[in-house]
Amino acid sequence: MSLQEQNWWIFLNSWSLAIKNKNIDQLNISNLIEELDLDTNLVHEFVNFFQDDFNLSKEQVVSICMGGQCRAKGNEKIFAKLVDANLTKIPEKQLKIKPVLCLHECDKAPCSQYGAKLHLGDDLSWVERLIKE
Amino acid sequence: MDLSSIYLPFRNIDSAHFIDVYKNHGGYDRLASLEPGQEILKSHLLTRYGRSLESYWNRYVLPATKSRGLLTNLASVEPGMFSQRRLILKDPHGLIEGMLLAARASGSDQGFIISAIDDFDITKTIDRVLEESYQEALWGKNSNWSFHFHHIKLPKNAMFDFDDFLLAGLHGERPGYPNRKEFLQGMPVHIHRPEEFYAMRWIENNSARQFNEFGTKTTPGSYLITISGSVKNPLVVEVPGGTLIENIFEQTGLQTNINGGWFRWGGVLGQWTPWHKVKRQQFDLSSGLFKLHDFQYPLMEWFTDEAASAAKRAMAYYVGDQSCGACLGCSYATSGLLHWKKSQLLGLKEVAKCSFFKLAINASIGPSW
Repeated sequence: MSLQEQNWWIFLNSWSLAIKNKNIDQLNISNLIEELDLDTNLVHEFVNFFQDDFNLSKEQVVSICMGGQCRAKGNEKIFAKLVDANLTKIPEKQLKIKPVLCLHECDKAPCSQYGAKLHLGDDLSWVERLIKE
Repeated sequence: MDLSSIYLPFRNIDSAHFIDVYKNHGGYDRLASLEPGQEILKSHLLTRYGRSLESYWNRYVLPATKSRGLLTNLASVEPGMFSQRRLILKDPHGLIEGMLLAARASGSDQGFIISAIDDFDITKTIDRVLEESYQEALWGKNSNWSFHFHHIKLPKNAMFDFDDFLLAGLHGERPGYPNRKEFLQGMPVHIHRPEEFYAMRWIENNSARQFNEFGTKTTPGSYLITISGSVKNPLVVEVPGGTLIENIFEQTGLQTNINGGWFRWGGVLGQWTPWHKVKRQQFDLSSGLFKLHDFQYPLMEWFTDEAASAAKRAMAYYVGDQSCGACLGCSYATSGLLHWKKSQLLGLKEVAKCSFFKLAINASIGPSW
C-alpha cells in the first residue's frame, strides 16, 4: 500500500469516527487534507456526496397528514402531542412539524412521514420514540 | 386479460406498465381496427353531472373541421382518493389507450394530461409511457392519424376547478374569478376523470351492451368507487349502478344494523347525509344525491359523529389551502368556515362567484363541527 493510500485510509477512519460519534461538524477537513497531503478536490467531492446522509444539523421534518381519514383516525391528537412535546425541547433538538393535505395512503390511515419514512396504521410507537429522543 | 375487472384487467400480469408486455396481452389492439371508438359511442357510461358520454361530447355543436381536445386531470392530491394514483401507476398505458380511443370516438385531435409538478412518480411514469407510445407510432407525427398529446405539469394550487383555476393556470393567469376560461387555446375540451378512460378501454375491447348490462336503466355500467372514512377496511370497488349503499359498505366491515353516523359522497367538498337516510338507497349517478359536480369525485365515506367533525375540520383546512383568495366572500369564509352561523353561510353562498366556494359552504353545513 502506498503512502498516499495509507493517508486516504487514515482520513476515512477519522471521518467515519466523527460520524459515529455525531461530531462531524467539528471535524476540520482542511487541516486533515494539509496534514495527510490529500487531493483537495477528491476529498471535498467525497464528503459532499455523503453530506446529506450524515448532516446532523439538518432540520428534521415530520409531516402529519391532515386529510379527512387521517384526522378521523387520530392524526389531530398526534399533531397536538408532537407540538406540545416539541415546545419542551431545547431549540437545537426541536423538530419541524408540518401539517400536509394528503400523503396518498388513505386506506392505511393515519399516515405521517418522518424524514423519508412513512408511518402508517395504528402502531404509534414511533411517536413515543420521537418524543423521548 | 382479466375480464372480471373493468378498470384494471391487467392486475394479475407482471410488468404490464411496460408497452411490450401490455401489447403482448392485447393492449392497443383495438386502435388498429377499422373504426375504433364505435362501441364507446353506443355505451351509456355516465360522466360529469351524471350526463352520458354522447350528450357530454355533443354539448358543443361544432363543424367537423373544428378541432377539439380531451383533458384529464391527474390531481392526486385530493384527500381520500388514493385509488386513482395507484391505478395510473399500475397501468399507465390503459390511460393512454383509453384517451386514444376516446379521441377517435369524440373526434378530438389533442389530448392534455395534467399532473402535479411535484408528484415525481406520476410525472415520470406519464412521460415514459408517452415516449413509448410515441415510438410505437400510436400518436404524433409518425402515426397514421392526427393526434397529439401534451403533458402539462402544474403546481398543485393551479389544479382546482376545471373551469376557473386549471384552465386559467394553463393560460398563465391568476386563477379565479373573473379569469374564467371556457376554452383551452380557443378549443373546446372534454374533461374526464382518469378512471373513465379505463372504462372506455374495456367497453371498446368488449361491448357497450355488456357494460350497460351491469347496472340499471338510469345508471348503466359499473363505476370505480373509493370507500373510506371511519370504516375498518377502506377499499376500492367497482360498483354496478343500482347497488344498495349498505351492501357496498358491508365489504368494509361496517355492520348493517348500524343506523347512526354520517355519510358523505363526493369527497372533501361532498354532501353530508345522515346514514340512516341513505343506507337503503340505490347507487344512482344520474340524479339526486349521487350526481357528481366539479371538484367532487367518486368517494363514499361513513363517519361516526365524532369523526365527522374531524373530517369537516379537514375540509376547512383543505379549502383554506386551495382557494385562490381572489373572491372577497371566499377570503372571508375559508378562514371562518368553522365559526360562521348557518344563516351567515347561506348569505355568503349567495354572493359566492365560483362553484368551489359554493360547494365548500354546502359541505360545511351538515353534522356539527
